[in-house]
Amino acid sequence: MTGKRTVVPFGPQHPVLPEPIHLDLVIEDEHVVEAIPSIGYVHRGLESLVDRREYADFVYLAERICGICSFTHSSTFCQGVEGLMGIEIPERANYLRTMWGEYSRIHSHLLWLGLFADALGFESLFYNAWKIRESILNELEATTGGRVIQGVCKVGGVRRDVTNEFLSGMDKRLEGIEAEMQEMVNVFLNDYTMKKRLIGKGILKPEDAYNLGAVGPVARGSGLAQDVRTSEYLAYQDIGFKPVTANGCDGYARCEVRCKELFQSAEIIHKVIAAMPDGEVAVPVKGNPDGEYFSRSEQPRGEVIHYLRGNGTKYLTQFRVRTPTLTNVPSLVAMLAGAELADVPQIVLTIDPCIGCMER
Amino acid sequence: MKMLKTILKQVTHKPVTTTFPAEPAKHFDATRGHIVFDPSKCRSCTICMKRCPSQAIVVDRAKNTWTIDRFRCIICSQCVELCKFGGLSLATEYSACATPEERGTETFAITYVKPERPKKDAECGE
Amino acid sequence: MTMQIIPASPAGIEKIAADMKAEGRRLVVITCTAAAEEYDITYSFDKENDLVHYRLTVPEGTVIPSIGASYGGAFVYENEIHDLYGFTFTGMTLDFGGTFIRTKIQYPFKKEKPAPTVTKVTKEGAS
Repeated sequence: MTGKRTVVPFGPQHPVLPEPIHLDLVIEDEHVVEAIPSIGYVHRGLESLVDRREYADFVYLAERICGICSFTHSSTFCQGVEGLMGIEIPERANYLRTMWGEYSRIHSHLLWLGLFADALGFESLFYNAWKIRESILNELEATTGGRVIQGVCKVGGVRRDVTNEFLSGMDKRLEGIEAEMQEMVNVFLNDYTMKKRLIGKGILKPEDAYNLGAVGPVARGSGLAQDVRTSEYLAYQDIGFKPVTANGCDGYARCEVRCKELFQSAEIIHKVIAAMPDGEVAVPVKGNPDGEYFSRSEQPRGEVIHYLRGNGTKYLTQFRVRTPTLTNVPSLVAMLAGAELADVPQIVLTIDPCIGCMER
Repeated sequence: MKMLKTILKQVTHKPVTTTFPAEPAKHFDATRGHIVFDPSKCRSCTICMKRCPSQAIVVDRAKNTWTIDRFRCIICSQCVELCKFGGLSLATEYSACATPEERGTETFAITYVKPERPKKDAECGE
Repeated sequence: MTMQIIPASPAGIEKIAADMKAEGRRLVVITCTAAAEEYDITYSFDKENDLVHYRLTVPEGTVIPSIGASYGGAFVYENEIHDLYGFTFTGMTLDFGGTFIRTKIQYPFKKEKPAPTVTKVTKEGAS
């Protein structure tokens, strides 16, 4: 039976969406035939501010591109400026950046798991995830001074050092957090309701994921071992890294990847703390950036690219950001085609949309 | 049954949340709460105004005042690092809430007095 | 990371994209930036962390063929460049006709129409 086609608008205001994105869902009976996204509700034009702020001050602005992956944005920006100016940052700063980056990955994934549980109507799991996230945020606040916006990266290193005694304390506390996370993840991956709602929903085939340019847990949930952390940046080369993948290609697989990455990040933090070199945390920076550079790193949501161009003054001339959510939108469109209308909210959430950073 | 342990914990443990106004919010030594200005040390060099990423600080040399807009301030603490005279510092408590009319602006009169120099020297900054 | 940029022309970009796809590379990003006099549109392709960049240097308002035939995901970048810089792409897989990013000022990142400046704090008394 072929019914008439109806267009159902979804968003920009919707209970499952923390941020505004609009989807026009073309519906036939109860099935989505096509989804047409449109964005532009929170475009802030942050990129064009770059020629009005000194590059050293812009780090704080770059950090505010996204409220959740803030640390990665600032470290990627600093990495870009350091690449332009040929600065080698001290090893300890590299390790500290890696550690904070992984902490923020745990906090971002916990936030997502909580929101996801909430979208499925699993309130108690939502509280549990955010309770654990709070202890991660406490660690971040105690070391950097900020809970979500850390403000700790600067061109040439990091602004704060952490004492070795405190680091070993963090190492111990993280073990306790891991045990709590294990309990929570068991519910996520084994609960009957969760499985029923997730398995086989929002299928993204590996070849589609590759061609549509999916990144991060979306790509890894489709079995692609794609992660910028395998390339040479920060301390990942020294401590060894192997991406987590799942072969389900569905919403459950993406959830599984994020759950496993929690423990992978914790493991990386343990290794980083064990191998933390002593020494300075920042080098003095002289001169101004000149030339152009593509800086890449792996955010909780996937690969982020910062393009910078300087002209030898203290103001950069061009700055463009490509955030993981933007490149995951084509995959989202592919996932939604053929889905049931009732599954749309949770499928949209499985790509971990972060619209604010997608539009800068 | 998988959540039984968690449920039992709920019964036996105290809540993780705190009753905030009654019990003060917890802060760490490293917490960036708000910027504290010491009027007796400021020499009106205006580096804090020039390098503030959010343009929250205004130093008025004519009136000899230092103004911060608490709503604009992002507490990046860059001014604290840049101040050569130790006139700025960080406190761990967050600044108090304000109404939109007040806009959270605070103005301080700079009380720093330039010490008398024995020799005649070019007046700078004042 | 390697920063080797290969110049290309708008007419040849479709072929480049097809070759890149045959090589097994994925499209990472299409970046548009204002250069000295013209605009630079850089296509970046990746395979196992090896980035390859192709750059079109084109004047404002050039019509550029879309690479949507090879990379279905290119439409987000192409629509974004259209909405922010005012370039026209022909044959996009999904054409929003300028409604992908809705801004108050049309083509905000274009040169002769600079984006609105930030609120300036009055700086009387500054040196």
